[in-house]
Amino acid sequence: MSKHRERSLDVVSGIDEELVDKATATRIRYFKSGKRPKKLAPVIAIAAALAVLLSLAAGIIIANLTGDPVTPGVTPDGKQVPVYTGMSVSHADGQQVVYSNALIPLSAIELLDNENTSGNNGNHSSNNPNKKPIEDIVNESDLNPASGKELYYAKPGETIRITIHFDNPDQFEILSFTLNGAKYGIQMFLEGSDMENLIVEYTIPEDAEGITECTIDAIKYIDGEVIKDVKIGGDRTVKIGVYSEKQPAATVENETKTTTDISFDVTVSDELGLIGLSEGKLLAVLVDKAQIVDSAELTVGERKTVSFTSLDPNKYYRCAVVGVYDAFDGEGVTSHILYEAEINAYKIIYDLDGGENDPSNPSSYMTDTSVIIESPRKENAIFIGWTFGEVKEPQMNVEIPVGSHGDLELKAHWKKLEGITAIVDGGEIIFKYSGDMHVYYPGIQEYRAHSGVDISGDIGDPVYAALPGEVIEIWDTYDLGYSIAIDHGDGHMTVYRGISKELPEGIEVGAYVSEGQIIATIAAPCGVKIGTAPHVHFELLYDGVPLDPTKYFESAED
Amino acid sequence: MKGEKNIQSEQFLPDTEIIELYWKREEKAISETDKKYGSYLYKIAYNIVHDGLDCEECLNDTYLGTWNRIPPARPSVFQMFLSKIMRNIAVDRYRKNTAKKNVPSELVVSLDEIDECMAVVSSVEEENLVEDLRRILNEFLRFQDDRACTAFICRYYYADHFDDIANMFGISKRTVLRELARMRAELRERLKKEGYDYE
Repeated sequence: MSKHRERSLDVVSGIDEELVDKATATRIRYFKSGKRPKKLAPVIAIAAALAVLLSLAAGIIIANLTGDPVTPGVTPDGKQVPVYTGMSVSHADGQQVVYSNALIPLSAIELLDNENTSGNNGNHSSNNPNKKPIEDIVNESDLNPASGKELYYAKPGETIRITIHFDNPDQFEILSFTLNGAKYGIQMFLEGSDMENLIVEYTIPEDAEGITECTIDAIKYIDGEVIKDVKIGGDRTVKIGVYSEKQPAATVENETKTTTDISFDVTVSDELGLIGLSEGKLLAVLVDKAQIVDSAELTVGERKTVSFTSLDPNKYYRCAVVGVYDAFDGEGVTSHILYEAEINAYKIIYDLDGGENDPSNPSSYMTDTSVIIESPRKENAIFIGWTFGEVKEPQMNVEIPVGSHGDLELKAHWKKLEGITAIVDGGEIIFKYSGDMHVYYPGIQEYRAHSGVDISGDIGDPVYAALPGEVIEIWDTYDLGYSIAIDHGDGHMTVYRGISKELPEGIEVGAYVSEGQIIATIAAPCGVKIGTAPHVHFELLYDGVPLDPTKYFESAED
Repeated sequence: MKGEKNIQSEQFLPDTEIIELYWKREEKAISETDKKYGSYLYKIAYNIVHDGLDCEECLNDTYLGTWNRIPPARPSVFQMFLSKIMRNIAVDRYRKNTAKKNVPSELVVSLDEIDECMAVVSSVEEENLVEDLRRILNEFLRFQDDRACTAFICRYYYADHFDDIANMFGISKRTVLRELARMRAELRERLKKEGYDYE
């Protein structure tokens, strides 16, 4: 409930009991008797008498007791004449009554719960308040659409059910009526109908849009042998909303934006009058995180200059033109964004030079949120950094700090994956890379795949990092001895195996090493390499897949 | 179905006899109450909660409430007694329902009309504000003639439709609308004179 609706309910519920009792007594008299106030009774008595005289004069005639919709409904023999009280509209399965203009007749109608789908558009919320959709923010605010009027909706060509309600305690048989001029007779009343609730099908015209009206007329019933008109005691017309592509739209001109202001001219058109029909709202809002901090009411058809000024230049804002109305799309009265703009949000443009961006790298940033730019990837190339703005030297770790302004262009720089520095001084390849092929291991006399190259050296010879990167793992294996893995940050990884477990100072998990830095020494062959000459087993991987390193060495020995 | 009238006109027990059944703790009291007043009470509920199942539950709660109150009560106007119980129960149900969803009832429409009077700006705590608004409203209503006061209560307390109010007094719907609008405008002026400002 909106704040004032709750207050209104509290206040009226506190009307003095004495006043309520007095009013209740009048209500009781009215609902008990169904009588008209005495002053009009003589008119009705004369009309009834005339009807009887006419019917005596000529066989079956049609007598009209209506004209004045509040004439008392009593036949000469004391029965209550049927009174039309209104219509309800529901979907073809009849399971939901979603709109009714009816006064409730004396016999109750089984109305099932109307699932209200308005207001919440689903789980759009995100942990980042800047990402929360403005529709949800408006729906949850004091500007919420709860006070809007929901109308029944249907699709063009859809067949719906209309229930015609009557106050007909004496169960006179209703014979026929017209809906928008088309006649409906007894044979068209659907199962479930009774003489107080007649159910018929009605097809929405294919070309219907906006509000379609359905008007009832010429309702006939039979009293003995006389066909008479049913009295009208309710609204003859029911309105049905039909979805159309012609939704409200905003035209925005002359938008100017700085870090502290935004202004624009906006005109909202609403061809079908949906906002008015829903008794909804039209406004411009300024949103800071998930809060509406300012708003301005707009009027359909009127050009208005919207201006939000004196904003904090270090904050990110969103500005939107919002219509709160029932679009006849099944969502009920809810918020619709007609125009949206950002203040203090800027583009990030990436020049990747054939590389692939990290999926977490955003295409824009907001001035009040810092962003860390991750490294991109490119096969057969090592990422060496970004340049941007005045920064001409490639930087690996780029962070856009809070308080930044302006669009940003980032250019990726790569080094071709070739010319890898020698891993061992004077080393030679003594066992080649075999890919998936199984090759003979002389030491263990078995066939296995060889996913790297063995580079010869003496026990204790230094092993150099082939490329710069971070040590991510140091471990012992039964088959290839002590091992160290370095991640180069762009999908490439190098692994050095058969090394001594005594590592140089500073070489540990998490350490950054530069290209050519000593990271280990050669150990005695062990495991599956037992019996072979001393060497380091070197692997080069991209996305976990071993490559043939020899293709990238500066001077490859075949 | 609830409130359905038989084709033959039914004889209802007089209110005094129904109340006597409550005093004797005979369960027939409830079925007789339902037979006689079920439809009437259903309408009060429907104006407020606008849902068949909820109306049924409000009816059941009303009968239970009546059973618990009589004895010791011995209401002089039984239908009025029932009206007030049902109205309160229906409003409670409405409050509960609106916490979860919009309720498209006549009550909502009527509250939105009176909202133009109640939307005052005040730094006073809401509870005290409501108390004061009630005082002013009651004083205001006592100055109205019977018809205007009844129309106001039927519309904003019982959420009766304009057509019913018009039929009640043998006047046109337009007259009802005009009269209620006049009263709302006067009430608003009265609240301003009491020192309240509007948003």
